[in-house]
Order: sequence, then structure tokens, then C-alpha cells
Amino acid sequence: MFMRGRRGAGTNPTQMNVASRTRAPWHSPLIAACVLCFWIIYYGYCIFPGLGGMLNAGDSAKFQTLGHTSILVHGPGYPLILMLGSAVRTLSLPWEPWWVMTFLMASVPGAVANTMTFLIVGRLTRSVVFGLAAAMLLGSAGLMAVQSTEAEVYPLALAFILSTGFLLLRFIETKQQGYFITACGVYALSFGNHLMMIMMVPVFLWVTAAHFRILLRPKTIVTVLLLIMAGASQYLYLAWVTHMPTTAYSEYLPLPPTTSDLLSYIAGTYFSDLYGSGLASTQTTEVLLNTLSFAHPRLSAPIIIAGILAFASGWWRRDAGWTGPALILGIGLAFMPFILWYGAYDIRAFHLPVLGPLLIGSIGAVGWFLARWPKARLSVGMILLAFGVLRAGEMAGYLSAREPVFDGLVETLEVIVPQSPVDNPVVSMTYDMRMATLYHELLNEVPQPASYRVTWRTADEIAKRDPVGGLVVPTDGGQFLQWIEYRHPNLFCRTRPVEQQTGTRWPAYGFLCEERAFPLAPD
Amino acid sequence: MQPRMQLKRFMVWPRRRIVGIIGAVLAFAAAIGTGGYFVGPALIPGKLVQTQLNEQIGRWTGGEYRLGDNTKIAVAPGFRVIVSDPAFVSVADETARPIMTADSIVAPLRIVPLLFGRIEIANLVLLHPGIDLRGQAGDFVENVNPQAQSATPAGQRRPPSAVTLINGTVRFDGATGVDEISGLDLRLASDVSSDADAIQGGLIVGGRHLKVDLLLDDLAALVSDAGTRGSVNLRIGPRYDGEQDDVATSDGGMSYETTDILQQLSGVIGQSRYRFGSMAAEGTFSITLHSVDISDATFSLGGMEMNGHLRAEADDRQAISRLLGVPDLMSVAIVSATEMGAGHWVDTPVDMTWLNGLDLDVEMFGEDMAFGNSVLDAAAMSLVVGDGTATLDLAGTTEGLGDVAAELVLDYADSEGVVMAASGRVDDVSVDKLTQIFAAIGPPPLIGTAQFPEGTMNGAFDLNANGHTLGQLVDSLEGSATTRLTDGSLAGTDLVATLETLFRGREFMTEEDGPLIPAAGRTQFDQLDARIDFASGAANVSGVHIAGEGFGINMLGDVELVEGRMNVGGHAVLLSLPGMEVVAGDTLVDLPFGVGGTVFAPVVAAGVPTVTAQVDAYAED
Repeated sequence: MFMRGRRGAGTNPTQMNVASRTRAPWHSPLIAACVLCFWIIYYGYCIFPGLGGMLNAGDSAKFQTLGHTSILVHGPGYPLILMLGSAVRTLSLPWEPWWVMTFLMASVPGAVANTMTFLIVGRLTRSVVFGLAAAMLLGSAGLMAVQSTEAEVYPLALAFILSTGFLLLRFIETKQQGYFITACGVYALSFGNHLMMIMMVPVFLWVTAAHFRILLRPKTIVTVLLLIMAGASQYLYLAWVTHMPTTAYSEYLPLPPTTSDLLSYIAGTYFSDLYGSGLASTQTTEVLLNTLSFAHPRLSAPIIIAGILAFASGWWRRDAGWTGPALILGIGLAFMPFILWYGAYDIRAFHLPVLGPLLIGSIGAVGWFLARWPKARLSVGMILLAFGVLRAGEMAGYLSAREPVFDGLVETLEVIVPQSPVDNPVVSMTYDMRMATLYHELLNEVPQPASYRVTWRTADEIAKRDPVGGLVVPTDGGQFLQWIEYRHPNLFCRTRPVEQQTGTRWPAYGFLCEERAFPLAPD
Repeated sequence: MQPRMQLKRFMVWPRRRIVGIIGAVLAFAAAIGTGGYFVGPALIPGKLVQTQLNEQIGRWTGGEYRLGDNTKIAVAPGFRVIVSDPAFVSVADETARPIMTADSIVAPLRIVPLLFGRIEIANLVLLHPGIDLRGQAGDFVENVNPQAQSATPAGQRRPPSAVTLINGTVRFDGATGVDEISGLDLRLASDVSSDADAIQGGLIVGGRHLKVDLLLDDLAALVSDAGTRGSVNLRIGPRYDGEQDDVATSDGGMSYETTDILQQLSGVIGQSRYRFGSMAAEGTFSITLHSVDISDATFSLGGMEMNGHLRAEADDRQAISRLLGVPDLMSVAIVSATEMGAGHWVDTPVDMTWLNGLDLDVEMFGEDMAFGNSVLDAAAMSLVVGDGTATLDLAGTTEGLGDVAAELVLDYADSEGVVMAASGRVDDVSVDKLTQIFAAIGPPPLIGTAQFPEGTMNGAFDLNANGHTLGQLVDSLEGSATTRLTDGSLAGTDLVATLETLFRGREFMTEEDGPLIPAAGRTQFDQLDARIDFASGAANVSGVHIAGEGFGINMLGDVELVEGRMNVGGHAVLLSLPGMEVVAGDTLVDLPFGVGGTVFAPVVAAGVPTVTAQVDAYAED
């Protein structure tokens, strides 16, 4: 029903099959392979130099640790990333584990997402130039380029989103169930990376409703259900990891966990305070608009607006193939409620699933709108492609200028830990620093014995110690000692100065707690 | 009949004979020409040529200099005068060191006057001239007597022939021995139409390449106290004459991180890697041995046009050489400043000795000037340097951004180094616009811009410091700064919403509950007062009070300035919630917090909250 356009530039399914047999350049596997190779090399070359990253240093360092040791990360668990880490450890490649992890979990998926962009936009616009331009513009967009070169999970999420989008696009064009079932398979697999993929369900419902005569058949339904179960079974792997003795570290989940612990871990209840808080102010909206307009300063916001207008006008006229841009733009919009609802202060990291489809959907819609003027389409495509190439060059400069954030961390610990007031100190750290320390700790590169803990996980260690003492790094204005005295009213804590090299990034202080002669009455 | 017959005879001459005659005439002419070209010059008396040369030199130098007596002069074929190893000596004291020597002078003679027996020099081309302004020879400027020329009515004197200097050098007494200007390619000529003297060309000073375009009503009057009206356009850029290493070192650190403003400033003094900076001035110019004066002038700098004057006086060296050294000194300062992040900034020397013996008086004022991305409605700048003291006064008003006035006084004493006193105040400054300008410092945002605090700021500062390096200056910083922000907001965190979650019983700092993750948003406040006292290398943050609807924040602590270590503590207090009655003195939540780490990476840590209106959620049982 969607392909019954009265006029416009689209082709009907039969023509398209002919086109695919004659290999039109806009879906040439060779060009697609070149796009993939280009972005793999580009991101590989520009990878953030070292542990962490500029976006979320702690989480990135934690994912990078998977490159040499099995650990559990934060909820919902990311079983697919755990499997990837397991594969990296099995292969034991001759490169630094942090580099291999970043490359495989972010750079390669980023390149795949850009390749899917070429295929999607090439197909929407019937123009290889537009396809290449969209791939260049997505790949060099600020947030995309940064996340594809740091150990982040969103390039993989975007690769899944765009692969699913491409398969659904093929299904809408050809009405072949195979595409829909494959899309369901890819979609189910994507839940092993990130649970925010749930936001795409309305898109599937829309496609199913529009094609219910084809899709609502027992065989199809059973296959899809089996695929969903296969996707969900990734969380069985997660459960298995929690019970493995080789799992060296778990941050949020006591090991081995009870079933209810595991379920609440997967559900991400740890962050439940933030659920819905994004709606309390305009903050999340402001930051999202900022991300969209700074993907390409002075270009991305206008092109998204132009794309939506082009789509609206084409849709109004019932141009053939309006479902294509509708699908891709719809995927972007589907993720938007989550972004606005989740009130994390680092919400920008979550923006890629909105930015990616909106940007390429808009470029696709512009090209689709211009299809009836082939010369205009070619010129606009060339201009966008030229901009994308220049921007990729500029972005490579920016990416290469990032500086490591944890250089000298081990050296700092080697200086301060021996100055602890007690043997085997409790070392209270910020989250980012703790995660970077974890990477080195599991490689036995940090001074021992010492219990390195993130500040809010020190309570058990403090309770075990006698005398209670250790280090706080970086300094915290003395708040840690207040917490110890609050939880242990019989203790009285003092700070001890720690000598450090000049210019340190992580000033520290030591502390020692003694029994009070006259314990305070508890509050 | 006779003539006609002859004509007839002539007409019946065979064509071959005519061709033969024409050929013979041409051959004769060629022989005469060639002979004249090669032999003629030998007939020109060298004495006459030397007189002519000296006359031209005298015209340009006010009659004070001429060629040395034993100069070898030859007239080469083509009537080109070649002077080998020329030396220009003082007419008054021929035994003194020559003011200028050169590899050779090439001076073509004008052919037409030559036919009438007059020797006139078309122009003078000096190859590799070396101008020596050291010591007594530096009296060049004083020797020149402008009246000698000015006495001649302008209309009657023939303009002197043009002088071209190719790849020359100028040596003069510098701060450390002898300074040198090299790569001097200049052309001095009289503009016939405007009767003005024009100097055009380029020269190399230190690491910079200067292109000069000078137009003066009266060149000779330039070197007098009275001066002359004129205009100058100086363009300064990096030197590209194969000495790329120089460019690399002097431009070190000037990568894209440099701020827009710094780039603009550095572009003006030719710091930019790619283009020449441009400075233009129009006014009355006067250069004497010890002073440079530009008065009643309009200066154009990087798109800004300002009126004012510039006067520099130096008692020991040529004032102009001191001024030419300024771009290099500034580029050194900028390179030092851009290295701040690398941790070397502490050792960056602060030196004013180069100002010794230099009296400088610069005053500029202008209106509606574009600077960076903003427009200055009015700005005034005054810089007075003398007796080892530099005083810089700045005042500016920008619509929407506010008023700024500041004074900086720098004194130099050997024992204490540079003694600095700075004071000033800001009024009605928009904090969000100001922070946006500061945010332009550093790399462009890769993934989006940070959100900025908002508010209207009024404040004042009064600071004193002394030292030999930037680090010593910061260590010795004393004084205070006070500021008040009204109707503003802090970006990033919604403090009220965060405190509210504590009021509702949220727990944190346990293994199950994790840290206190602040709610995203902005914290609107009515008033923020802060006082910072500087003493012995630390900033003492005292009396920070923030008051807003239903909440308050107090803070105090220290920030170590050189290392940037912070040790600040405070309390955030929730007084009421929307819809609740406010009881004076009642607090719902009191959250102590600390700020540690460094100013480059501050760590904000939440302390043990006291929730009074509810059962204490943090009790052990």
C-alpha cells in the first residue's frame, strides 16, 4: 500500500529488483566495503590515546579492563560486550588490551554504522554521492567520531539500529519476509548491548501493522519469538559470568548474586533515581538540541530541519517511497523520549541513537526530495560530500589532539601508597580514578597490599580494619572522614599530609582513625 | 624639369640598389649604435658621474653624505654606472666609519639628456647595502638637516631619482650587543602626482618579516622634531626565507587551541602561521635618533580603528629599533602563555629590563570596534612607560556585556623583580556572555558546548604581586576580589531537585545505593556574593553565599594558586519546598560538601546530610 505513489521519483519493487540485479552503484558491495575499510582505518588511527576518554573516562576504563580480565560492569550488564571481551582475551592479540577493546567495541561498530548509512541513504536517494555524503557526515559528526574512538557502547547500539533500519527498509521495499525476520534477529541480538533498544519497539509495531497480512502468520510469529528468546538468552551468559570464579570484580552486584539481585541489576534499578527526572526541567531538551546542532556546527541543525521539511512536503504530495525517510526519521524520534526522560547529568553520551538516524534520515529525505531534479541532487550531494570530507579531515585533527587522562596514575600511586599511615591502606577514590586503577590493579601494576575502592564502597573495608587508616585521592574537602565518623561514632579521624611531586593531577591526603576515649552517643 | 628628371632617374633605379642603400644605412647606424653602446660609456668622464652620484646621495641625505674619494666608478656598456665597493662617508668627517657600504651600486644613466651632453642618473640600485648605525655613525639622523631641502620651493626642485636597496642589512646598537635588520628590500621614490615620498618594500627583524608601505609628505622632515604628515601600513608575518626552523620555534605552541582573541592579537603582530598581520597608522610622523612620535593619528589594528598618539623615547639606543623589537618580544610572551597548560608556566620569566631607558606614551581611544565576536561600544587604552614603571589603563563598555575598567602598574626593581599592582572593577557584566567568551579558549567543542552559568556581575579587585617569574608573581599575589552576581543560575546540576530527593528519603554512599548523583538541570539563584583574598600563593575563598528560592549555599576554603589544589568546604541547605510554608530558621535538608582535587579537575564530594523534617534516613538502625 505504501508504494502506490501517484508521481515522484521512486521506483516500484519490480524495477528495484531489476536494479539490484544490475548492481546500481548506490548499493554496490564494493563501494560499501570501501566505506567500511575507510572508517575502520580512520577510527583505528584516531583512537583515544590510553585509558578512559573525554566522554566518560570511568566507564570507558572499565570496558577496557575486559580486554585482559573478566569483570562485571554496571547494569544492565552488557552481556554482548562481556562476550566480546571474552573473545579478546581468548585471542590474546599482541596489542595493548585497552586499544583492542576500544577498537572492537566502538571503532568497528562505528564503521559498520557508517556503512549502513551509505546503504540506507544510497537506497533512499538512488544516488551513490548522497550515500557517500551521508556516511562521511555521520562518521565525522562530533559525537559519533568521539564515541567511535573511545570505549563506549553507543556506536555498537547505532550499528544495530541502522542495520535493523536497513533490513526493515528492504522489507518495506520488497515485502520479502526474510528481511523482516533478519531484522528481528539483529534487533534481538542488540539487546545484549543496550536495553535502551526497547525504544524501537513502536517502529516494529508500525511496520507490522502496515504489513499485517504478510507478517501475521504462525510461521513468522514463531520464528520471531524464537529469535527474541535467542536474543534474551544473552542474559543467561551474563548470569553464567556472575557465577564464574574467574570473574575478578563486580561493582554493583554481590557475587554470586541471588536471582532477584541479578534481575534488579539487569533492570538498572541502581539508576532509578534518575528515571523521569529529565522531565523536571528543560535541561535534557537543551542538551539534546545542543548535541544536534554541534554534530556539525552550522550544518547539522539546518540539514535536520531541511530534511524534516523535505519529508513533510514529499509525504504531503504522496511521493513514492515516502515510507523510507519516514522509517529512518521515525527510528530517531523513537529514541527521543528516553533521552528526555532519563535525567543523567552525562545524558549527552546517550544521544547517538537519536543523532544518527535523524541526521542520515534528513540527508536521505533531502536527496529523496531532490530526486526529480537529478542535476540539483548531484550538486547538493557533491557539496555535502565535500563538506563531509573536509569535516572528516578537521575532526581527525581534533581527535588526535585529545590527551591521555590517566598518564602517571600508577606512578602517583607508587608515591602515595607507601606514605599511608597504616599498612594495607583503604584507598578511597573517585569513580573515574578507581576504574583506571582497576585496569592496572588486575594486571598487578599497582602497589600492594592496598584496598582500592570507590568512595561509596569503602564501608566494608573500613569496618574490617583496625586501625582504620588509608588515603583519599583525589582530595575531597575532608568529607570522607565525616562519613567514617558518622558510621563509626567511636572513631575519631585525622588527616595526614602526603608528599607528592609538583604539578600532580591527583592531590591526596592520608587519614588515620583512633578509638575515642569517650565514644559519642549515637544520634 | 630637372628635378623631375632626377626623380625619374631615381625611380628607375633598380630595386636591388635601393635595398642595398637601406642595408648600408642600417649597418652604419648599427655600427654607430654598437660603438656608442660599448665605446661611448668610456668617453663619459668618471668625475662627472661621481658628482652626479654625490648629488643624488646628497638629496636623499640632506647633503650630509657622499661617496668616498677612492671609490671605483666605471660606466659599463649600456650607460650603466657601476660603483664597486662603494662607501658613503660623512661630508663633515670623512675619516669616520662610513654610514653605508655595499657590494656595488648600479645606476643607469638617462639616455636623452646624455645626447645633450648632460649626465643624469635614472635611479640608484644598491646591491647588498650594509647600513651601519652603530656608535657615532648613529648620528646619521641628527646630522640630517631638513632645512637644506625645505628651503628649496617644492615646485622647483626636480625629484631625486629613485633608490632601490636589494638584500640590505642595518646594524645598530641593541640591548645585547649589535642588532641586525636583514633582508632589506626597499624602494625610495618620489610620487610625482602627490609630491609625496614613498618607501615600499620588506625587511626581516628577528623572526618576523615586515612589509612596509610608507607615504610621507616630506621624507626629510620625517627626521625632524616637527615631523611630517603621512601614512604607514606595516604588515608583519613569519619569515619564509628558507629558515623554517625559526618559524617553527617562534610559532611553537600556536596550534588551534589558541583562543580567537589571542589569534586575532597574534595575527596583528604577525604571529599567525598563515597570513600577515596588518597595522596601519595615519598621522604626523617624526623620527629622531632617540624618539619616535606618531601624533594626531588614527591607528588601525585587526579591524579596530582607534585615535590617539604614540611616542617612544630611548636614551641609549635608537628608539625605532626598540619598537621594531616589540613584535618579537610579544611573540615570546605569547608562546610562553600558550605553554601554560604544559606546566612550564611557573618558570616563565617576567622581565621588564628591556623597557629600561625607554619612555613610551601610548594613548588610544575608539568607539564601535569589533573585537573577537563582540563589539566594543567604547574603549580607551593608555600605556605610559618611563623610569622603570609601566602603567596600563584600560576601560571599555560593551552593550549587553557591561563595563570594565582596570589599571595595571608594573615597576621593576632588581631585588624584587617586577612589582605589579592591578585594580579595577566590573559593572553589570553578563556572566553568560563572559563565560562564552572564555569558553572560546581551548579546543572547539567536539560534542557540544558546555552550559554556562548566568547572571549579572558586579565586582572589584585590587591585587599586588612581585617576582622574577610568573610562578613567583602568583606566589606573592596579595589582595582581594569581591563579586556579586544577581538573578543567575549555576549550570549542570539542579541543586534544589537533588536536595529534594534527600528530603524524600533517598540514601547514598552505600554499596547498594551508590553515590549521590545530582539531578541534571540548573540551580537558579537570586544573589551570589563571594570574596576571595589572596595571600602567600593561595586564594582564600571566604564568604561565598548563594541564596535562592528555598535554598542557600555557604562555602569557604583555600585554593593553592600555583598547583591549583583545592580545599573548600560548604553547606547546601534546603529551606523550603514549593507549596510548603517557610518557617524562619528551619532547614529541611543540610548537605555538607567538600571541593577537592585541583581547579583543573575539581572533585565535589557530598558529606553526611542532616534531614531534619523527617526521620533521619541515615541512622544505622
